[in-house]
Amino acid sequence: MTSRFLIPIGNEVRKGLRFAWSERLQILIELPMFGVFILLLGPLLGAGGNIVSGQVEWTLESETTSIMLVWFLPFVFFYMQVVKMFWRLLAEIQSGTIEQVYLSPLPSWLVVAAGRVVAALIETAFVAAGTFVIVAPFVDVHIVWNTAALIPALLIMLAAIGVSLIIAGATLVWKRIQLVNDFVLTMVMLFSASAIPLIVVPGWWATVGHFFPLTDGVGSLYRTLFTDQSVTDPWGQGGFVWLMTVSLGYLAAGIAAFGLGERIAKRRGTLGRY
Amino acid sequence: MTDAIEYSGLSKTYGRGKDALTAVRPTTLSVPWGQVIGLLGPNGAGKTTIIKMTAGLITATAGGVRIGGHDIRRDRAEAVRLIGAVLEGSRNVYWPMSAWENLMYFGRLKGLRGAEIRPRAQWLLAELGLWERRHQLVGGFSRGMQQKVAVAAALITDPQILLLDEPTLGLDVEAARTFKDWIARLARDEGKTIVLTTHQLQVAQELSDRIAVIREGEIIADLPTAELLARHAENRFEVRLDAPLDGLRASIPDGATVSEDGIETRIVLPDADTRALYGFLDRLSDTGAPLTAVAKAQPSLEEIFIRLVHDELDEERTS
Repeated sequence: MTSRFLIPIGNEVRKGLRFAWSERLQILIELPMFGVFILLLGPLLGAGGNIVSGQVEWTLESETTSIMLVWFLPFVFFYMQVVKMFWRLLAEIQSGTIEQVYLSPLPSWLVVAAGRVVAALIETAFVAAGTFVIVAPFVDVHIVWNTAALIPALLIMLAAIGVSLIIAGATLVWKRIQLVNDFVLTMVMLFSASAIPLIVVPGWWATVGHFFPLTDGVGSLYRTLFTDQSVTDPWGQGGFVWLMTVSLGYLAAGIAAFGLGERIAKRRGTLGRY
Repeated sequence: MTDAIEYSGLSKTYGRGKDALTAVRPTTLSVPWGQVIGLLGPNGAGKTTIIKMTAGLITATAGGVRIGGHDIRRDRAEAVRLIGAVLEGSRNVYWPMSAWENLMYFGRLKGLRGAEIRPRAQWLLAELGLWERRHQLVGGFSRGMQQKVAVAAALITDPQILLLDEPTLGLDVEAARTFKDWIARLARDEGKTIVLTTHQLQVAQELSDRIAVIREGEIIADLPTAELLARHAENRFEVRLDAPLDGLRASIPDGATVSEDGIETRIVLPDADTRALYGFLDRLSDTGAPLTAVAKAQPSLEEIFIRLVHDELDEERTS
């Protein structure tokens, strides 16, 4: 039974890595961009007053950069997960190979969804780790590892998977939704930043932010890694229950949206039609 | 024993209300194991929709499909295990992967282990003349070679049923012939059940045990190929001249049909009236026209198809 699930997932991971290898030049170009972005953003984030008065100090400060990484790496993971899922699925729809994938006797959630999720997971973990490796030599990243951080990290992954499945379900139905995809990514990036103590946001912003997939996960990562708070303590960002609710809610919504998108595409006969 | 494929009241309507488009009208039809059935019809007749409903890629509006007795919706896993498909207009295989990687991928996708896939992949690639290039990316192959990889991928699990939707589309003459020979071998030597759609009616005639003609979503003829040809058989003579007709028009008997391509002229005398033929040949002899062939001829499947689709709908409805 286990091999019945592991073989197709391994198959998708192998294919995902094969495609990543063929896109290696693009990834190698993108990877330093993430590093440069965070290094440049460090002196600017939360320094609006200094920017206005023209007194920005272009120094890489350890604490700020470390906190930013705790926000940025989950976002890179989220971004790559959603983007890879979307573009790979769109490419398969455009070429028509998606229909051959649907001829598998294995359940579609396993080969089309779960397999690709794991494939994207491994690739994005590599890119997120690469970003860290690029930033670390330039600034002393000071993060005290706490095993409890695995819980919000896992919940962030589940939320990212959920959103990528929502996007995937919508892609099966509407195909060209790049703009929606980009809009969602931008919103998640902006609102999740409210979870770290580097910027001041209006109350409504923080409130709305709780409904976005990364915000409470990032907030809880920050608290676990930079303060002494336990993972089970009720966090200021909404608490453990809220974090679980949002993350698992996105996952459940993703599974439902993917199933719905698949049914609609099969009914319309547009599974492999671009 | 159940048939390989059974359609019971299968129909498909896209959209709703005034925009609704009926692609397939209620169809009941069975394909026995080992039979090659050609689905013929003009563009938009509903052939691809039937193929995709057979594979479970499109949900039927009403009715159902059973593959080897398994309902394609309720028992999808068992049903698709019996199917291999080369779909029209699709790449079918991954271009950024090699032929070998594609076969390994699709084999695993269908639940096989590597050790089970390798010998079959090796055999298929050798049979199709791709063994030497197995590690090259499919994207760099010619259209014919890509189509061969698609067939190999469809056959990697040795399925009993093959769905081939326009498999020779875009292939050059030689590649199409190689492909056709291979399909014929699969049917003859391995007893595969094959559902074939093609616009190349000569290919359909050579490969199919049975022909179903579809027009506007409705099957208007469904007969064994030989019987379909026999039903439309005519005793007629065909005379070929290696020259344009020009000054010979007056010599042509009443009721004859003439087709010219600028080089050759083909004259078909409507019934096997040997007296009329001799008279016509005498007149040709007088003019010195370069005669290249005189033969007793039957209408081709192409002619029958055109008649069925355009002229004889009411007479040829499937009983």
